[in-house]
Amino acid sequence: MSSGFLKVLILMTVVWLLFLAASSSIAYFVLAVLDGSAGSVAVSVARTVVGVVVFLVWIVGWHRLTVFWLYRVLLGEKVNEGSAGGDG
Amino acid sequence: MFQTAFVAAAAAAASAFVMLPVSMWLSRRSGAMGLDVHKPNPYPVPKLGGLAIVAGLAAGAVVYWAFTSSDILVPFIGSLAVAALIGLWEDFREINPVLKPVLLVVAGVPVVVAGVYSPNPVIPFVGSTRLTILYPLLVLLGFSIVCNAVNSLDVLNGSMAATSLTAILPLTIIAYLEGKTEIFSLCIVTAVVLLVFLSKNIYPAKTFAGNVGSLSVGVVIAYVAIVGRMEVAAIVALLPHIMNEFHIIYSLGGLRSGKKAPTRPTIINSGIITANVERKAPVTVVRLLTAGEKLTEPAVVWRLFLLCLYSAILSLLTYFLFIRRWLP
Repeated sequence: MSSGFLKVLILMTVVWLLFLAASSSIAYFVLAVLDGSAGSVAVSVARTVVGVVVFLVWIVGWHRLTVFWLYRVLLGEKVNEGSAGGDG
Repeated sequence: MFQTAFVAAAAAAASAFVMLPVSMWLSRRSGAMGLDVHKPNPYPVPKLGGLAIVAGLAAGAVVYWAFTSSDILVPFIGSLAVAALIGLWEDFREINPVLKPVLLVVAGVPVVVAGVYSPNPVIPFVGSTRLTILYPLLVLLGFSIVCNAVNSLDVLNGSMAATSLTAILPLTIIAYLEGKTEIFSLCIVTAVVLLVFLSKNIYPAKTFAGNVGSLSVGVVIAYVAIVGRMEVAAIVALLPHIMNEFHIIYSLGGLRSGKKAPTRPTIINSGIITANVERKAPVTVVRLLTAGEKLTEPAVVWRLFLLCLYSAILSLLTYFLFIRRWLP
């Protein structure tokens, strides 16, 4: 199997770990608000805001990581050599 | 457990097998033909092959229901019918890219109305949760996301069926380990139907699944995930599909038709596929797999299959490490 494919597998592993971290973090912050055990209103609002921020950071970070991986890790060397246009 | 599942699977396989040539005839007759653009000399291919998938899934579910009278199979038929109708509609006339995910929400309605779900998904590191009010909304959203994600990987000969088979694999194993008989049977039925369909869809494809096929497969995976309480395992098994859909939407700046992308994600020359290096091209999984490489269509599909198989392994790992101990 080519090194390019192995690099995609590494990206997939990182995406998996990011998903586990993000989903559990969001659940940790937001679930207490949903079941009413967060305490005061201020704490509930703070937890919700943190949950939304984690979600947005995850989404933006995921896309940026993939773009970085595509251009720098997978295409980087080829682009520098000027041969990745692939005209068959 | 096994006997009824295998009888249902046999009925599903027979139905799909019989319906395949019928669906191809119907495609030609109705003019529902799609151009196989990845071939050196593109030619039209019948694109309603997915009708055979729908027939197989429905036959398997009905036969299983006839033996067991299981309550959870009736809403499944409802969800399948909704997705198949939306898919058929799009196969004849392109649906607005914003309207399509909204319509697919309706596929989740039978599940919510029948109440065949448990609003207690298990989340890694957190455990079993209680989402009584939020969960029905997530069910509707989940159907739309999964159907669109499976649909987005239907880009090469055999790609949708092969990658969906790998997504079903860990769910089948988990259903077996958890003793969820109906869900296990539905997984076996789906796997068998996809294998029969692959016989005519593998390179060089004699028929395409069309939206009717890919959306129906999406419905089964969403249904199995929600009704079988395997939400997180299913998301991990579908990571390549979800990644593909997510990056296309992000790259295009919202829900837009892929045909309106400023440039294609890949370049095809004499049947050889390679990633487009232009920054304006949308990020897709096929583009990642062909970055800096020149591959034939079957080679790209093989890599897609292996990538999804890796996701299936991660899905099982997620189940064994983070979910199993929280399940009742």
